[in-house]
Amino acid sequence: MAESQTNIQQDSTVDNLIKDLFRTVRLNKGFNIWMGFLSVSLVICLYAYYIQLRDGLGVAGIRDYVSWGIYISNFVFFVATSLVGMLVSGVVGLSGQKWVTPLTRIAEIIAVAFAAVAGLVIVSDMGRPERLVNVFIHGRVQSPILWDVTVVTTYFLISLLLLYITLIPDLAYGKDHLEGRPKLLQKLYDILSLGWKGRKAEVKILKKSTIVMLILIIPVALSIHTVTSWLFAVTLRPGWDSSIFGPYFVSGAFVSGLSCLVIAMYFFRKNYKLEDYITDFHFDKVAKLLVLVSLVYLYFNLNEFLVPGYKMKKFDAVHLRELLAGEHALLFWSVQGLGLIIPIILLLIKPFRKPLPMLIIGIFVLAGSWLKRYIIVVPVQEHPFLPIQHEPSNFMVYSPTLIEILISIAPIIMVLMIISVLAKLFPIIPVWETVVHKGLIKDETEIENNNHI
Amino acid sequence: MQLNRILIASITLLIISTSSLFSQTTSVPSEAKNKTAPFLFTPETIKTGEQIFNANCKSCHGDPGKANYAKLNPIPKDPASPEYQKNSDGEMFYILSNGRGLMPNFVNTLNEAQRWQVISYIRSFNKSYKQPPIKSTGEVVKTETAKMILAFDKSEKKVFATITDSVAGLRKPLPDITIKLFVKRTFGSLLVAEASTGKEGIAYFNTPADIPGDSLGFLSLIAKTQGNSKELISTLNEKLGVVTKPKNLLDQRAWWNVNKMAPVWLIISYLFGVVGIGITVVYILLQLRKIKKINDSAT
Repeated sequence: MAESQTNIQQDSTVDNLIKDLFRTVRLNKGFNIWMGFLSVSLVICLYAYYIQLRDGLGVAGIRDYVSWGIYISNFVFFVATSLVGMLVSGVVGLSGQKWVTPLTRIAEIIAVAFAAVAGLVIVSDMGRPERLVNVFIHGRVQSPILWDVTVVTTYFLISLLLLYITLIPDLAYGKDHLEGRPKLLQKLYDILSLGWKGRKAEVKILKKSTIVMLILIIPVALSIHTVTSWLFAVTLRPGWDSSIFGPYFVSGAFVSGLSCLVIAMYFFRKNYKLEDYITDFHFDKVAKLLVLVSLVYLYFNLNEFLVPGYKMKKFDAVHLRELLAGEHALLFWSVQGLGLIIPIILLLIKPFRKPLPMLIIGIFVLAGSWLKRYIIVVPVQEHPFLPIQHEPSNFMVYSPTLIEILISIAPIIMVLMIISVLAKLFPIIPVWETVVHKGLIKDETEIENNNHI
Repeated sequence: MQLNRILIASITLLIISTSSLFSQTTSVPSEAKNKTAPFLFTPETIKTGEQIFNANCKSCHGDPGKANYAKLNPIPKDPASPEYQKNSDGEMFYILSNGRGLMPNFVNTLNEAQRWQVISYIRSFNKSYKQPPIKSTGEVVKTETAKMILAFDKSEKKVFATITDSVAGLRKPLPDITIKLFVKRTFGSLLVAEASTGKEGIAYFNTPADIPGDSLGFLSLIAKTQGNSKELISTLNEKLGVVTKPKNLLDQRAWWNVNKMAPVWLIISYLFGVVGIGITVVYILLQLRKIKKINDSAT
């Protein structure tokens, strides 16, 4: 008698929980206004791209010497930020940190959005985008560009698949909790849920598949940013010619990805009223993780600048002087100070690990991350080995044009659109996993797994 | 304090000694000092000299008299300066031929006549200059009718040059003439042997046996007579070198080669990665199908 009563009680709490988490899956006025605003902005940016297509890359500030401008900086930033999916779901998730559950879907959605758009960002740097297919037809297996195309595409597909797998049980819940939502959405849930019933055999398969994906995503994610760093590091240019560029980029990617996650956490918590699920405790944990990865990144920064700075080889010296004490010094020190060192110090203090201070710190770190990519990409090209002679001044010093800036904003808008749509179509907090972690449903496979271990 | 003084003193010494290392005047042998040009300086020689100067000397020395020389240490001297003009023709010729300090030698870049033409151009900036009388240096080809033939002696296995002069319709050998033998290389000529003609007007050269030749072992030889107004030149293509098969860097599998010639390990690694990920993804999709099947059969 008592047993059946607790069962009923449990069922009602499960039901409440599911209802609560599916609350956000609806198209409301606010969402429509937000999407409308994004669409109008995107159209403006796409018009800028139309001008570039019509008149050529000359409308951007990139010239013969600085031929990689904010487009490539943007690309590196996008690839970097997409790594957060791997960090949160893969590294932290696989290590058995259960607190991370409510954040995994946000991280995976960020990863999918940034990885999907990263490829488009590269196209914006192409003068003849209609020849894109040549990259695949005539690509050389020796070229890091081909590796980059391969791994970025792969990472996008894997991230999408991972997002989908973890969604399957939620989709099944959704079938019963989407009254009043569009018929099309209900149909979509029905097809994608694969008829999930939560049987032991299904759970077992799903768990196994998720673990396989999480293991796979770690090397792929590491390789996307390592290969992106190699696009620079395999050249002889002082400032890029570095053997630690791979780990330097990967650690930097964790910093920018986590700061992006912090901002997303804050907005979803506030707008979707998820205070019960994304708590101060989660912010505290993510803050500590951000401090850890920032310290690792700082360590790589130290190596990257101190070691060549100690030797001051002829051409390195020109580059380092410009960066540390010359024309780019203000930007360089602002980025290192406001985007890395001060955030580390602040996040070590407990009151700063609360949501609002963390949002502000996150914005600074994210902006710093973007500008850091600019510092890595642009100043190096201003000092080629051969002296620049008899050139107009705009060939020597790079400054992005308005059109170029608009074109670079377009992918950011696209990312926001993808995140917004995905967060509206599907519950942003993994429902099934939350239910399981809260112990509301008995996980039969867990006992078996423990026996294995 | 004392230590500081010693330090300063030693640094000063070091600076003095190193700077003197570069600016030291090479002592010119007295016989070279007295050498004179084999021809009279004329507006033509000055004009040709100017062209040669502009092509070979101007980049460092600038325009004579304009002090627009390159900013090197020590500074390249202005050839028009009174200080430089104090040198005798022979001294100038010696410096030009052998180089000095940072200045390279021009002995194999410019022939003797060209070097003298440069000097005639430099002297044109000195109003008080008077060309010394032309001295005869002895063993030089003085006639316009002299000829040199370079050939290969198969029995002796040696390259030899014959210099003859045409006198009253007959060819008469010219003895005691020094000939330099060069091998043509990609960037300029390489001096390989030097010999003087004997009584028969023939000079045999001892050429090294290990000079890299072309793919068949051929060498392109050039013989030049020295120290004269009329420079005799003769060339010969002979199979005297070491057979050198040019190595085409594109014949091997390498980073820099085309796709087909990529390193095998790279192709394997790339395919391993792509296929490995592909198999994993297919495996996951099959698992998903399994889930669907379980549920389809249940309903």
